[in-house]
Amino acid sequence: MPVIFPKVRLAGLLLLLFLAFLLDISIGSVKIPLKEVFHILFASSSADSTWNFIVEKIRIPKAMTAVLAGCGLSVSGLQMQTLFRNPLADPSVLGITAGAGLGVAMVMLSGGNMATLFAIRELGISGSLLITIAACVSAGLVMILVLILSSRLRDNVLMLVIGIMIGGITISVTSIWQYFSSPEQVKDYLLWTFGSLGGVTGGQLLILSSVIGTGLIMAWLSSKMLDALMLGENYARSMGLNPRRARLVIICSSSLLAGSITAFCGPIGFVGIAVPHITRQLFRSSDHRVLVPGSCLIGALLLLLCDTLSQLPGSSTVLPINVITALAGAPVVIALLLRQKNINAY
Amino acid sequence: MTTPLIQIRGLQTGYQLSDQKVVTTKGPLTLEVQRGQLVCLIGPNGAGKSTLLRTIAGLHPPLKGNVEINGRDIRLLSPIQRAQTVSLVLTDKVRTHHLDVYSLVALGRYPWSSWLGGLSDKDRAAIEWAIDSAGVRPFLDRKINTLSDGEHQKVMLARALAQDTPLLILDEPTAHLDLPSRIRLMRLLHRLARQTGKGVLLSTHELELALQVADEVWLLQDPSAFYCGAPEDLVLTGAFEAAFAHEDIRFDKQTGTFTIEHEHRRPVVLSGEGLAAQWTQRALQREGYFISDEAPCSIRVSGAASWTMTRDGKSYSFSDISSLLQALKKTDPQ
Amino acid sequence: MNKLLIPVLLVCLACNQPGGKSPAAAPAAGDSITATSSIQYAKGFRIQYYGQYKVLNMVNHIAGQSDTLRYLLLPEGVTPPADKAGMPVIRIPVKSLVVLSSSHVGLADFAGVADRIIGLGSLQYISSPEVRQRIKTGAVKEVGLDNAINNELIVALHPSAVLTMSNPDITSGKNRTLADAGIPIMPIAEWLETTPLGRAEWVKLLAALTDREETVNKKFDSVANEYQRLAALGAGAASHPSVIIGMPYKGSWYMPAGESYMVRLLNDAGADYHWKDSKGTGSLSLNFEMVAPIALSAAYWLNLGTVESKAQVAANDSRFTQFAPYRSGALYNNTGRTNEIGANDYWESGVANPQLILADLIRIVHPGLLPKDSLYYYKQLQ
Repeated sequence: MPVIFPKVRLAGLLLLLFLAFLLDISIGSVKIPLKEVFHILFASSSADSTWNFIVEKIRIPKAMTAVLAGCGLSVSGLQMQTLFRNPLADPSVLGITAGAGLGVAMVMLSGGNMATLFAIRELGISGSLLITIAACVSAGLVMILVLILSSRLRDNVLMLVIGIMIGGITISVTSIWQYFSSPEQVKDYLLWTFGSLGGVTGGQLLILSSVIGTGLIMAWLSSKMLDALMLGENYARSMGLNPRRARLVIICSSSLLAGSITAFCGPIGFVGIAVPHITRQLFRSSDHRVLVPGSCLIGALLLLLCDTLSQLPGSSTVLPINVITALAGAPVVIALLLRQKNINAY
Repeated sequence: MTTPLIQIRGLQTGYQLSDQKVVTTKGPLTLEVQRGQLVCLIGPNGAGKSTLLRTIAGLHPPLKGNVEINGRDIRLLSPIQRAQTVSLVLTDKVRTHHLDVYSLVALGRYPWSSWLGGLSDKDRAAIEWAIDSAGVRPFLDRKINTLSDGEHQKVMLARALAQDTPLLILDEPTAHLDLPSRIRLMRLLHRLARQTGKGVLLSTHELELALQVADEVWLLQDPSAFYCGAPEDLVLTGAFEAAFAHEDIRFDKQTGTFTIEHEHRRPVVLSGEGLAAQWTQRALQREGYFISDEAPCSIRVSGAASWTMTRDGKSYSFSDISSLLQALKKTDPQ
Repeated sequence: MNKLLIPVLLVCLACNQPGGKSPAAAPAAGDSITATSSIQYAKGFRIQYYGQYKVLNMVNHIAGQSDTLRYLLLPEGVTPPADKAGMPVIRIPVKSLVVLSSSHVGLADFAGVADRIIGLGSLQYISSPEVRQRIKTGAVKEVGLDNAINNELIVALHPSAVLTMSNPDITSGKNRTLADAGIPIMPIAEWLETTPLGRAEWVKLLAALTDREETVNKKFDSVANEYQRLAALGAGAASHPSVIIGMPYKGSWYMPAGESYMVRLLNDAGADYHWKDSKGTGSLSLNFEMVAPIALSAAYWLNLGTVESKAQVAANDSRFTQFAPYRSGALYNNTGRTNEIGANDYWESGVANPQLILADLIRIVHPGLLPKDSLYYYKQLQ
């Protein structure tokens, strides 16, 4: 049977996504009546200006970040799983996210180094902005390194190994810095590794949306290449795929997605590896023109729900997002995989 | 003179291992494949058949020489142009989950479909034709990881057919198939070549099937020994015999089959005619006997189902070969 | 009586430690015998004076429990008394120190003994001009911080004591080297004190180590008096403007908890702090959403971290521009006395001079209450 584009399922997911968005912005440490939330969302006004501030400036940007991060990580993971034909691949497999961590470690842990001081004094950037920029720069450098290496290699498996090695190197360097840092610095860095969806607002949110949007469009446009790659590189080449160009586009878009999210939100795990599997099961399809938008929606939905859970309504503390994604997500994937009759997954 | 579908000139294949060059076909080979021809590439394991095929398909660079398809050097073609000229069926296993048969066959339209993968009416027609030609309609909706080996092979063939190229190259397409499937596949390829005018080049171990369907056989005995010609010529010149020569097997030019050489050959006298006698001879040979004029034991086949064994003056009758052989073993143990 | 005196003197002379002074002779330097210190504000240490020697008791926190560390401070030539056998001995006056925290440099500076520092954890962030000069001339060596502490260097320096920030567990591998070399390690936990004067009072410990009680006590008393005077002014002020502290990171905002020394300072300055009744002596981990309502209407925003200007505050997070203190420009950072190498004196001399910090705070939240309006440690962000 020819493949029918599953419009109904996608529309259903979109609706669920909207509902999850509403749920996420209605729940928080400060109790705000649902009616007021709607007022603020649709009419941008409310009796209480504090509530306005909270919903408009804190909750909505956070929910939007969750949507962007959910979309980006899922699609990035999908691309990595297809490119390497490995069901365990995730966005961090090329070492980009570890690269972002390296930049952050440089600012937080070896804080007195030349680059940081230069940035603080001469460029006038500091604090979380500096951290984000450092992460972007270092992730970008790793991406360029990976792209250069990919153009020289013929084999995808080698790429995987190189990515893991890069990840290993950055982790080692970070560990060295941690070893020589004060406890406060180590704690700061540790908190960064827990991930956080808050704090991406205004200009930063705009930048993140553009980068994610670009990455998603690139990924969707490379659907045909991804489909061909599923048969293996030999068949793909025999069908007319240019493996170098394919790798370039896929690695580029996957790195943009994973790198930018890690730079702005810290490393968020699990979403990238689990959502493509959930999507494939739900849509029973391997067509990437369906899987890319499907993963987007499911990833965004998942992360919104995790964010809602992390807020522990009424309490003043918020659990780190990484904790929730792992605790909530892992059982879901295990259940899904066990239900499959064929253990030969992917 | 029409341009041959494949024109190979001065070809030498092999690959580069860090500092060493491994030559799999010394050549230099100069070969041709015409439209509508089925060519079988035969040779022992490890002789270099796969590398030669992949070089002709453009997946692998040759060490020397060039390959032209439809008059154009494959190395000068863009990947899409090459994909519109040659389609492949390889030994690679594709076991992607959730990929159904139709989608896999549809992927064959990659070099023709739109940049996002959209299929036109022409594409769909090609897919339908491929499905029917390869006979995969009965399991169109199934996921490919639930297919048997034979069904899987057919699906990969359908995909290659959907690609609609003048040349079809298959690497050991009959491996993992049972005998009826093997025969059916070879017959299908032969028919395809004749009816569609496609050129089909395949590598196989199935010497006996190849002898029946191939228009031309390329025999690659080892990197420096390459023979090509009509299969019958290769039999008569003794090329097959030499290529597969081995102390335990013998190529029977008469039947075009390989026979196993047995040890401990003892003589036995056999008389009789027809099919039963022929098959009795084979059974005796398996038991380690050879037919002679003089022997302590003699066997006579009468009609279609009656055997008489005479030994030391005594005669015994049997109604099937199995009991005959059992008796033989008892009286002549070794 | 006279007949006995000579034998007694002879016996005393015989009891002399070889090469040391006789116990009957008064030590040449300092006034250790007559001067004493009483500790009023600090809770982390006590000093007992026994005529010829002192006993230092320090509360030591190991893994959640606390016990007391005791050191015997003994002048040169004095034998340890029998009932204090087994106590680690530190010969006073201490001639050289290795100091690992810049706050302790501040304490030493206040006590006038900064010239006895011969080793520092890091040479990078020092404010004291005297110590910086000694670093330039090479009189102070860098020994490393935390995991990078170089024990060999410390042993080679032969300091009389090493001052650390916390628990000197001598059974742990690293510290055992120093213990074996006979170098005492003292945890100076002034940072655990919950009151500003309690923190500052740790200068008296340094005074006890260096026999400078008289001078230091005088100095400290004037600091304490000034502090109390200012605190009374602050408490009696007409209004108590609200204050928010610190800079959040992403969604989390750490505010000092109600029992911490920072909140004490705010109370004494007559400022209002929303979480002043919370429990704990450290920080509260609050989520941005909880702090936002307070921040939107707060009067002043203090201690903003590494930012130098309003523009940087806005660059960190555009939402800060809606906070009342941002709009009114009431942003005051404690980086006013940062020198050209990036060292912030707030963390060095500020520890020993809480009255200066309090004065700054009062000037900020109650402009005009104090005669001079110029800030010492703080500066307003432009």
